[in-house]
Amino acid sequence: MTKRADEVCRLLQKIGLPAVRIEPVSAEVIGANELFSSLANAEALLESRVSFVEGVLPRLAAADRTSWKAAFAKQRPVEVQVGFKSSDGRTLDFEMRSFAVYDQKRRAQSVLCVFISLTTPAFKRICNARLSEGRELERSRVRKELHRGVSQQLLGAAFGCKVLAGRVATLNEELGKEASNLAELVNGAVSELQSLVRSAQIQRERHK
Amino acid sequence: MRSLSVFLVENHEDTVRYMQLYLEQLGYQVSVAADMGTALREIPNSHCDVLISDIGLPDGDGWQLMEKLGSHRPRFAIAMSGYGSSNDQRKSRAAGYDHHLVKPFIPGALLALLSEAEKSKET
Repeated sequence: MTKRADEVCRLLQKIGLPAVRIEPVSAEVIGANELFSSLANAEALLESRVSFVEGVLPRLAAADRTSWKAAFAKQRPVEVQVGFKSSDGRTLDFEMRSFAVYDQKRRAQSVLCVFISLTTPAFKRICNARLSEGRELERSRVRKELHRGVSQQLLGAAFGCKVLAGRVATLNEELGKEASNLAELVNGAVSELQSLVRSAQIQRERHK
Repeated sequence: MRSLSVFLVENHEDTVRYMQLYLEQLGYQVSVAADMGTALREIPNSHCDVLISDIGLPDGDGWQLMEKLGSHRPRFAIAMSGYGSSNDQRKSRAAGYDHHLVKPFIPGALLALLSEAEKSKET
C-alpha cells in the first residue's frame, strides 16, 4: 500500500500538486479506486461495471451515488468529488478526487483517483495556496493594466500639461495660470497613482 | 539654452512626444528613439550627456541597451519603468543606470535628476 501511495504522490507532483500527502486508507478503498479507474474508460467490461455497482455504490452517500450512476450511464467523462461512507454508515474523513486525461473523443485514457484527508493541514495548505495563487494572478493583472495603460497615459498627460502651461503662459497670463493649475491637478493624480502602485509593490514583496 | 544633451528612448508615442517638447521648452537638446535597435545605432554619434530609457522596449529592454552600448554609454543614465520592485531597481543599478524612475512620475522628479546630471557634468 505504501508503494501505491508513493506512486500516486509522484503522479501528483507531475500535475502540480506537490503538497498533497496521501493518507493511508484501507486496501478495500484502494481496490474501489482501481475499479473506478478502470470504469472511467468507455471500454470497461460489463463485469467490472456490475462489480462496481454491487460492491462500491452501496457504500457511497446517496447524492454521490446518483451523480456517479448518471456519469456512467451517459458514458461521459467523470470529474467527481465524493465523500465515502464506511460500511457501518460513518462518513469517512477523506475526499476522493479524480483527474482524467481524455482522448479526442473525450474518452478517459487514464484516471488518477486521490484520497485526501479533509482535516489534514496538507489539505488546508492546498486550499490556501490556491486562494493565494488566485489573488496573486489578479494583482498581476491589475499591475500590468496599470503599467501598460493608466500609468503610461498619465505620464504623457503630465508632461503634455506642462508643455501646454508653458506655451499658454507666453500668450495670456491668466490662461497660463489656469493651464498651470491643470498641470498641478494632473501631477496630483500622478502622485495618487504612485502611492497606489508603491503600496501594491510593498504588499507583493511582503507576500514573497 | 542648457548645456545638457539628452537621448530619450521610449516607445509610447504620446509620452515621448510630450517629454521631448517639455525638455526642449526648458532648453535641453533632445534626441529620441522608439526602440533599442534605433537607440544603439544613434547614441554613439549623438554625443549625448544623459540617457533616459524605458526598461520595456519593443525589441529588448533598457538593461540590454546599456550592456550593448558598452563604451558608448552616456555618463549619466536614468531608467524609467512601470515596475519598481527592489529587484528591478537593483537590476537598473547593476546595468549602469544612476537612477530608476517608477512610472508614472511628475515632471519635477525628472528635472531634479537632470539638475544632478548637470552638476556632475560641471564637476
